[in-house]
Amino acid sequence: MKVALKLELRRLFSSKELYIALAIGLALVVWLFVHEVSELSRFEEQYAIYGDKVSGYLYYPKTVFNSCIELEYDALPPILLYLLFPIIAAFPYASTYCKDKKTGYLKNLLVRIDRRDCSMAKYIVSFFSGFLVSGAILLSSLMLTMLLFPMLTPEAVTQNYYVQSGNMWGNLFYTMPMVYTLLYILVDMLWCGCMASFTLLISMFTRSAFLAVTGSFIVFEVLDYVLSLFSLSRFSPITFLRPIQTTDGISLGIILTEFVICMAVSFLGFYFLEREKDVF
Amino acid sequence: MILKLQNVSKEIKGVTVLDNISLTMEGGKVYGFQGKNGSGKTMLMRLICGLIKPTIGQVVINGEILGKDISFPRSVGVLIENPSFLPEYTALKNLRLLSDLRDHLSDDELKAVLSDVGLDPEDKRKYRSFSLGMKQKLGIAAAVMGEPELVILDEPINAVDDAGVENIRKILARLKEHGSLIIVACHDREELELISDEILRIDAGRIIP
Amino acid sequence: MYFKYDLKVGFLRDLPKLLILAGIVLVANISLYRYAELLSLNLGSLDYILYLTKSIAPFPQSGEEFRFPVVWYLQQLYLAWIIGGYPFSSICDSALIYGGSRQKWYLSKVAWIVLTVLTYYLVMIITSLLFCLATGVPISWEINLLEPTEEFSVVTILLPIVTSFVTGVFQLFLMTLTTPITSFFAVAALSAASTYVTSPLLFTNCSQLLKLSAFSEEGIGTIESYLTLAIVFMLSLVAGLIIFNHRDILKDQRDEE
Repeated sequence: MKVALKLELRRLFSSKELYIALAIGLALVVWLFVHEVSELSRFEEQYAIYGDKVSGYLYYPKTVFNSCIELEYDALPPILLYLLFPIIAAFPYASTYCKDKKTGYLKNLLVRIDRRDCSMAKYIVSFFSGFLVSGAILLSSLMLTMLLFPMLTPEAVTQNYYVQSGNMWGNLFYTMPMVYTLLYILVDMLWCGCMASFTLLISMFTRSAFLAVTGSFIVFEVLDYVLSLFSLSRFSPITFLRPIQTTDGISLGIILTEFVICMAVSFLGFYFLEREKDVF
Repeated sequence: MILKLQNVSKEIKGVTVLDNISLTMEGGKVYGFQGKNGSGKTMLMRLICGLIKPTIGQVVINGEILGKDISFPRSVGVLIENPSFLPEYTALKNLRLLSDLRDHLSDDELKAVLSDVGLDPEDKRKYRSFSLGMKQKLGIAAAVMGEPELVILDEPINAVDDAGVENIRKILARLKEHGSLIIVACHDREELELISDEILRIDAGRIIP
Repeated sequence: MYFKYDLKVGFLRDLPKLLILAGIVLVANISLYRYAELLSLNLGSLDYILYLTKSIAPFPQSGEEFRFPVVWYLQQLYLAWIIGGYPFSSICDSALIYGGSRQKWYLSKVAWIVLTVLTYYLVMIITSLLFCLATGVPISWEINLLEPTEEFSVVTILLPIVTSFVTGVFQLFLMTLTTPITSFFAVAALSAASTYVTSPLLFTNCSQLLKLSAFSEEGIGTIESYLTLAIVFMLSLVAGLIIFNHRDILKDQRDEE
């Protein structure tokens, strides 16, 4: 098992797809950062002219908790990032099973490593790849904004924050915002790992890496769409992954239950069912 | 059929894979390419059939410049590296799809080609369940169907049984009689000497006299 | 030559995927039906068809809150998924060589995209019409769901189809440069960005009816849209042909995807 894990981890870190996914995420992070800094400098100019009452409102500076990619709502980069997270998470590694099947490399592995170990290692590293990529992107954004923006405790009365007190952990956001942010980043990382693992499940049915990687993305988007039409958006991963919750009723119970179900289905499918299949 | 390579060189990512090759080949002959692994045989074959373009020089087929007057040779059959077909179709259906692109052969003609290479034309199994030898035979069938003027075969006897090898020899002899220019790469020196009229040795992307 | 091959291998093979599309459209129709019942709206069959491509009004110019247009996005995404899954999966040495021409291969793929897009929208329209017939929604060609402005004309309604075709050709061009996954990702990102930013430069805006001046005062003009699409199409087609013509095919593309 150790051998298999070491091999797959080495493959992950030497794959260009990992760095492409990171680059895309970091590009979005930097884009948002530049946008936020330019807004900040505009505000500074306004403050110099008008003092406390800028454009009729009481001046309140942008902070870390409404400028990082997790917590900014009114900009394009976070919309893109959270929408495309399933594909960014799956891209680095999860399609390697398809490629191994197609090229015949899987046979090379199976004659050297126990099949159970091979499947387990593949599963763990797939999960880890999604976990790692999402964590790197989200933590980079947080740390980048912390360089220039103050960490003021959010004030709901300023109407500058997008988290509502009725949202999941809403009170936590207004009392311990860093804890809120880090907890949500952890939720996102776990779910991105789950989405990458889900791609392995799709890999069982196809040899095409394109279908595997984009298939999980399509599945989650279709699920989001269908649930939104029946006012059940709170059950959609695409919806509850965003720390700015756009729908009511999201709870930790829902997030964890769905996470466990998704992981269980993908694990059972890939580890037990795929193991029984013939390898051509 | 006259095939000319005029001072052809190919560079890929800074590495010279083919170096100043000049050749003239005629129809009605079998040319054997011999060389160790990585010598450039397959690259040369890919160049001749138009899949890659020369960095310097040109390939002229019957007076037409490849990559300029024509994208690919007008009448060519290829088997380069691994045979590649649609996994969800049978052998006959795969051939039919390819035949419809150019040769428009009838089902009877396609079945005859399959029989010639030693495959069962009525086999309903999908390509994905074929053995390596069967895949190779299908690749040869696709390359020789319609009796093209130029036939390029890379390691055609790989994984093929003795009966299959004999079939391939017969097919090549028939094509040669028909006037086709046949290029074969093979590691089996004996086999190459048996079937080829002329053997060209390739080393480090160059033709060795 | 190539087109017959593409018809059999690409188009006919992809037909089952359009059944899933019909399912998605059906769910959207049910949702609109319930919405119309709740608000006592008198909608006709054309409204059910236009609902699929209406998206949202220009943000922030319209003053409305930004709500991500899931219906529109999903049907764009699904089409991009179908288009991404075929063209370069069919490059095996023999299929490309036996057709005799790289340009013809490429143009055949463009023709396949036309056929796929037309069939795609036909499935959407037929599913909506069948739903209307089944539920007693009047078959009418009046627009009640949206408010056409003075600039509205029939050619405006064709914009979603034309935009999808141009997006497909653009995706094909990207595939000559990179891989199908990357091209799909680029189209997904472009479509997502165009929900937020209203500009003809993000040409996927042209398939969102509410982003057009025919339905929104702040929208993009119909002529402007067609001009942009024509430019994108020509550039994508020419660039794609040139790049593919010079592309070295070093191994079977099916090994890549």
